[in-house]
Amino acid sequence: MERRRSALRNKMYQQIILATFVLLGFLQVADAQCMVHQIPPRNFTLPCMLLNKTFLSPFSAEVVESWSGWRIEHGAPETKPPVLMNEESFLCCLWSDNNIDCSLYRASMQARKFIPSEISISASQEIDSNWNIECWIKGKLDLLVCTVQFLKLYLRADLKLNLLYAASELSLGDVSTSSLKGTVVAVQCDCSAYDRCECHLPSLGLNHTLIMWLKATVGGTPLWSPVASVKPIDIVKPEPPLNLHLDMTEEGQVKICWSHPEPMPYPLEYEVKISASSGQSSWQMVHVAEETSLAVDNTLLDSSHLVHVRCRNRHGPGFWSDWSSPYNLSWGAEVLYFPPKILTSVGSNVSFHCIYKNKSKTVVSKKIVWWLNLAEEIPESQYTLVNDRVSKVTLFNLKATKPRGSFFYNTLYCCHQNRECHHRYAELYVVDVNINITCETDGYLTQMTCTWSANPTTVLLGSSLQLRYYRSTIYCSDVPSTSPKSEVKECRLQKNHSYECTFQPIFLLSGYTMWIEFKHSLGTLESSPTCVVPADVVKLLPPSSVKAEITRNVGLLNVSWTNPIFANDDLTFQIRYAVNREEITWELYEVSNAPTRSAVIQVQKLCVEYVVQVRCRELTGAGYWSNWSGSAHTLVKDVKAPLQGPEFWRIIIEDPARRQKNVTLLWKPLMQNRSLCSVSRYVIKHQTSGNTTWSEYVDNGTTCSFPWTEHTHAVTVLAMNSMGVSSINFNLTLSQQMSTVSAVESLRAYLVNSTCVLLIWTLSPQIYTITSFVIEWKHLNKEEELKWVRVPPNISQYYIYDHFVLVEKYQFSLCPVFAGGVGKATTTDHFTKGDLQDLYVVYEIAACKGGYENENNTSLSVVLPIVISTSVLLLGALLVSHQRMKKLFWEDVPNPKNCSWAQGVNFQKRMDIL
Amino acid sequence: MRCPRVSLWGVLWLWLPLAGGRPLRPDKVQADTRNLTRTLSTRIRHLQLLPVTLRIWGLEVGEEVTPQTGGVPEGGGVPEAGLGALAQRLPPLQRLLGTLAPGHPPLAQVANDTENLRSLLLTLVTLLGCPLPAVSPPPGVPPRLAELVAEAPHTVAAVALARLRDCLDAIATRLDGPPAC
Repeated sequence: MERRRSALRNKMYQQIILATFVLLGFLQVADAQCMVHQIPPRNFTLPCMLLNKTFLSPFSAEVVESWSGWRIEHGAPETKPPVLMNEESFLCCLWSDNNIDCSLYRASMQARKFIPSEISISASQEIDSNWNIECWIKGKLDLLVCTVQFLKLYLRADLKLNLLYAASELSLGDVSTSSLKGTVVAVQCDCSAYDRCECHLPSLGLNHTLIMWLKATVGGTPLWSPVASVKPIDIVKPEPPLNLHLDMTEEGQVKICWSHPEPMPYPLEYEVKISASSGQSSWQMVHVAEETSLAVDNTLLDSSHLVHVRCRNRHGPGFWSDWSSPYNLSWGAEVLYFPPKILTSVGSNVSFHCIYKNKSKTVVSKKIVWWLNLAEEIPESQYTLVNDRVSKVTLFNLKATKPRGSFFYNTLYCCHQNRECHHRYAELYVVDVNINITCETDGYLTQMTCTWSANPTTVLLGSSLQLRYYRSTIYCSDVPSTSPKSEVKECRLQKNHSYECTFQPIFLLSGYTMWIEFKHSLGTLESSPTCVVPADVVKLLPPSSVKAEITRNVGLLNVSWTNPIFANDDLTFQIRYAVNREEITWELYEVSNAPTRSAVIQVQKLCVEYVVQVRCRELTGAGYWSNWSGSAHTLVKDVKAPLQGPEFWRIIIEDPARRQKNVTLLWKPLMQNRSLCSVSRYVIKHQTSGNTTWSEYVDNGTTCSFPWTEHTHAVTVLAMNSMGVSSINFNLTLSQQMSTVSAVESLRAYLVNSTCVLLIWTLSPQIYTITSFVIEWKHLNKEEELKWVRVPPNISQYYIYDHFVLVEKYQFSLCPVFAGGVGKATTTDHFTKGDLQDLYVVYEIAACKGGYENENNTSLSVVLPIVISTSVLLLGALLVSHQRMKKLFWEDVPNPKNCSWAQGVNFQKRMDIL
Repeated sequence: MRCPRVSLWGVLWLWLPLAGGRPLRPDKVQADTRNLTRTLSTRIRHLQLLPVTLRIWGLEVGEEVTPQTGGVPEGGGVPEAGLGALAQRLPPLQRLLGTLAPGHPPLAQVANDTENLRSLLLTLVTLLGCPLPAVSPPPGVPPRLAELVAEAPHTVAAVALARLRDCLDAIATRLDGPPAC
């Protein structure tokens, strides 16, 4: 018996031990895990438990007092940001279909794993109440909202509800209680509504794991919910679809279209509800669509139907959005265009389709007409009847849209042929994308700069332009084409509204195919691609070391230079040269292929400084002209001996005491065009009647004096420079015999004005041939140098230009110069007055502007008839005026012969009455 | 085994410029090649890294440094070779210069020119019906050479440019006459 009792005791001990081990093992397992309720995208129920009951749970043995450092802050208003918790505990629960066991878990306890529960928590557990909860992410994805509804409304009294949560980037399986440490945040829920509270959580990562639980205080008694978790992306409630409208296809099929809400975290599916509007039978059709459009039956358009659309996650969990605002099909179907907007480029052809409904009745397509900009009816020849409802119009070879006010598009109206149009229209945007891209490679062959500009009037608002390119290994293809493998090249906007893009370094022989991409919300346009090989668009560096000189003797401008670096030998050159003065007038000279790097240019002026510049380009014509080189200047040097000696004259001063005549030669400095280009000295050659010759030199000055002792003394003055002496020279023979020969009969001087005096002379018959005259004049009251001028022998008058004063005295002399010597001078020292007729003076004043005049001057033949005809007219006018004055002042005396009483009276006969 | 590779190269390089339908003339390609050779020579002259009169040691990396495989051989000129063989000597130098190019725009430009020159040479070789090189150069820069580039970029640049200049001289000699392989 004792043995049996002992065996029973042992067995009982074994069972107790076994049960204890099982229980301990269970407790250990249970202690290591907390079940988590998975929040679904719909409303669900969670139990709420009194804290003291949770202590009665089998797990309460392990309950530790608290997590140090955790602290809850209550009373934060709903609108205030959530508060990070420093001290908190939560219910760690395990449940099955028919049981739930919870314990209060504190931070200081051993970490436990969260495990998702596949079983919903039954509300039939021994709990105090249930919470009906719904949580969703609002459509803007910035707010998580949970509504909590109490099933036992008596608990509403004096209720404070907090939602506590912690977010983790880990999945739920990897999250444990330890990861909550320091991350739990509490928000106080708004319980102002009668039967529910609303808790708002700020934006969280959509793919984070959110651990949350509720803690309510009712009359000082805490109520807890088990822990729940959710991935926010699983409970998104999108915003409803937007922008419902009708659209049509090319074939005339009508479809309802909408825009998806933003932001859209994943693809959406849509539900479309079409229902009869009020007043009609209340039926409705529901369609599911994956795209943002749904074809509708055309018959629905003829009566009033409302369309609503809502959306939700296409492939995963989530809430349906609210229904969109209703859209009345009959309103939108009044006129439909396909496409409603077109963006195209200049020169293209486009077509628009239209369905037109006039006051709820569809207009047949043959009665539809099209208008452009409400101003221009499009010819019927451009219409196509697609079917009995759909009309099509085609516009050809479009021109760029010119902005009209703030409208950057053309409008197309689909109208009834009775000239009635709906206010809606289709928009046509025509953009000029014929953008020319020009490129230039620098002279160092290291960079290529491409420029392009777009017409600012044709660039639409909100559009963008960018240069795209791709590179071929070498050369370009004949027909450049765009490629999807292209790259965008960054370009800089310049001040002149053009864009500049720089390629550096470059592939000299590669083909760069470029085009401009025009991007707009309505589409993308491309300019015609162009291909450029950098080596073909080189702007060479300018030639260097440019030198220029005038070649001696022949008068040629010799230019030499050095070819630029990185240039081939086959170049063509342009030389521009000009006389170096303030206003430079360039002349151009072209040289093709100059292997000597030099050119010779014939120039007219030899004794001036020339400025010369050179530029170059490829002989083939490829590329661009280089910039002009730096300037080279020629030096003015003698190129030839002077062409002519100076004109000269003599002054003879007699020395009666010594019975000697001293001669002073005067000459005028030789001009550059005669001296070529300078005069270093003058040579005076003397030859006397004794056949004695000698020379003397004048380096400085233009006078030379010598005594005249012989009967005849011939003098020649030569000009001399570094190249030699002048070959053509003036001679003057001084002859005692010829000095007494007079050839001038009379000499008169007329003062024309203060700057001009006319000398007129007549010659006496003579036997010597006059080779020239020399006119001398001088101011008698002033000690001025004698002035002189040599004039031809065949004239008889000469205009002297100088400064003359009427009241002053001047002396004018006319010396005939014969081959054998200088003749006797004729002198006058006063101006002739009154002899010159007025008419002649007028003519002379006019001629005074032109130096001496030839006898056959034609001005007289023009002026004289004018003066004569004017005089005749004046005379006629005077005669007419005289007659009129006579009639005005003198009354007519009647002729007595016309009186009746005088008939037969002879007035010639004397009749004495007295 | 080589014949198919040669013809493949030929077809590739012939069709590359002809893809756009432009008939390429050998004299035009030869003129462009000659001009580019001169341009490259001028560039190298202006870089003033040459001449390397000193004997450089420390660049011996076995087969890696031979011209045919992309290395930098020490001293000596380029033996007379056909245009195709000359073209094959360029890619290693081009890659080497490309490695040196970051931070050295002139070297980047020389590397680009070298690539263009090689393309022109291969096109010319194809147009003239010359034999094409059988062996393609290995891609990339040999590892030891990469170390040298990192360690002494100036030396490697100078020696590489010297090798390139020798190669250019050989190409120029080939191109001076009428079109020939």
